[in-house]
Amino acid sequence: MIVVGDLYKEFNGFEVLKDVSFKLNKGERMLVLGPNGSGKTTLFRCIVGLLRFEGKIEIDGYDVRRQGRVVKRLIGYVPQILRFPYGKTARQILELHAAFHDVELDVEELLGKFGLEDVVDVPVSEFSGGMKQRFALAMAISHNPKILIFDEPLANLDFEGRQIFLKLLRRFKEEEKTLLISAHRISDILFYTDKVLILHEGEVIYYGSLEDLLEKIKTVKFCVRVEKPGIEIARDVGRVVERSERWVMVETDDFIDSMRVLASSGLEVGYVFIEEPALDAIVMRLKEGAER
Amino acid sequence: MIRFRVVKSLILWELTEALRSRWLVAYALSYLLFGLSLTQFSLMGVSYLGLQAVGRIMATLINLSLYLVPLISLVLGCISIVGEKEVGIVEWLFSEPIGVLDYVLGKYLGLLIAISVATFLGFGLASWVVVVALPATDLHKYLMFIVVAILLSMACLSIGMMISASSKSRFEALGLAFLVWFTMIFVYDLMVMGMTISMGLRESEVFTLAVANPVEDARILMIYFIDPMLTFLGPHGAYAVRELGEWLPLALSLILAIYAVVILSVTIFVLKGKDLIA
Repeated sequence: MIVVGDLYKEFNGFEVLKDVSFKLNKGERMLVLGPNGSGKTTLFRCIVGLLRFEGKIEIDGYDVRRQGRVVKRLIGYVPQILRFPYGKTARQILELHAAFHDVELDVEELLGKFGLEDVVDVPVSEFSGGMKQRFALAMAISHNPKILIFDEPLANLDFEGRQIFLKLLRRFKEEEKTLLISAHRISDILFYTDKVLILHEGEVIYYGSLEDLLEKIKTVKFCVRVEKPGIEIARDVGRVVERSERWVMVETDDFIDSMRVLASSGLEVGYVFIEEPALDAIVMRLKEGAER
Repeated sequence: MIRFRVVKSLILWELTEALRSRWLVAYALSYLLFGLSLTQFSLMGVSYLGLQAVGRIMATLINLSLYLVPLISLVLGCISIVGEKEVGIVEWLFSEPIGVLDYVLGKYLGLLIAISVATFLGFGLASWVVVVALPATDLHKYLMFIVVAILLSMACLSIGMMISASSKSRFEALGLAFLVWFTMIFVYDLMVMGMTISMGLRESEVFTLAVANPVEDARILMIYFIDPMLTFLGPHGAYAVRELGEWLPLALSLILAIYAVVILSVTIFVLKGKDLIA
């Protein structure tokens, strides 16, 4: 369980986190969203005990500040920027990691699960971005932690890595691991999220379930390709945001109704793409909602 | 509480890193090169100086070590923590279940062992040449000499690591380390001399001021093994012998050890009081 209360952090007078509070129970999974510079990484670093802070952070009842070493044994952490000691092989780094955690590791078997069995004795500094990300994930789960904290884990992952990661997320759910994960898009881990926390300029602007968030955002943007050029799309399909000869971008608060209107309009529709709401748009919508 | 398995792993890790360091290789090679050349030149005088040559060789090697040991200890110490911060591996390291105490102790001991090995190798070959050429009864003096060099290294490594813990960049740390080295080697003596003349300091005060500098402390200790009466050092040497007698080597060694422990404790305190990553 993770309990964060009134977390405050500043760097040289610049407030990065302002009174952030949330609670994550055992087995719950929370997605932390926020534009660049919103404080996601700082939040994660505070939870892992890498930064000093004001407020309270408890992991399974242990105080992060006073019982940092115990807390770190419970956590598997993948930072946003992956840097490993120059010239050290995957085996050497994992052996040190195992020594820190007092566990025995079968390095070949572990890395094999992440498609890295051929690079066990290759320096990690020579790995590609995707390989480093896979290696970091392997290391984070190697000591069987109860809590997993991943800071933008999908950022560097290639297709194969993404599949491995999503498989892992499924396993975490079965094993009731508590998961804190940051991403830039909701759809990245839509199926593996119970809660969402949205940060904006260091403040929590949303904390709750994914369903409630989607209800709040409501607006859906979609693009329609009409087969005959220059045809006007009916106004009651939605608000037209942009258009070209054949493409029309529409915004609506009731997507199902818009589709119904579109289907009965008699237009020859080629494709319909739904555009995922941009983070900035979500933030704006939530702030507008809060002001109203 | 210290976790010994963790500290042991960190020592081995640091040791392998340090042994690959170009600074350390350069140090061992210069020690070896200068040590052998100076020993060879000094041995050329053995025919007419007889066994006094041992003292001469020792005096030469003392000067060499008083330049090189603080330099390498300060340099390796000062880049140790800030260097890892700069390359970003501190985030990974401190997300592991290790405490600041484990980290500092592991780094410190790993570096100390690496410097000691390099000192032993660099100095060992020069000693071996002397032992072959001169009576083996002087061997213990060489061993004591190495022990003092390691004690000096302990103190200077602590200073270096404190600089590292307080610096924002490797360049800043290196600049500070060279400044400290220059002060300890060249400026401090002049300052004590100036104060002695201008303020009319007593022998006890001069001696206290001298041993407050680890390099001077080590110099007195090394000279003691060639000349237990410290006649080279003048009045404050005579004062030290008169007041401390045969406890002198133990007292001076303890000062170096205390220096190392106190400054290392300050380093841990400094690191605990700030964010572990930039």
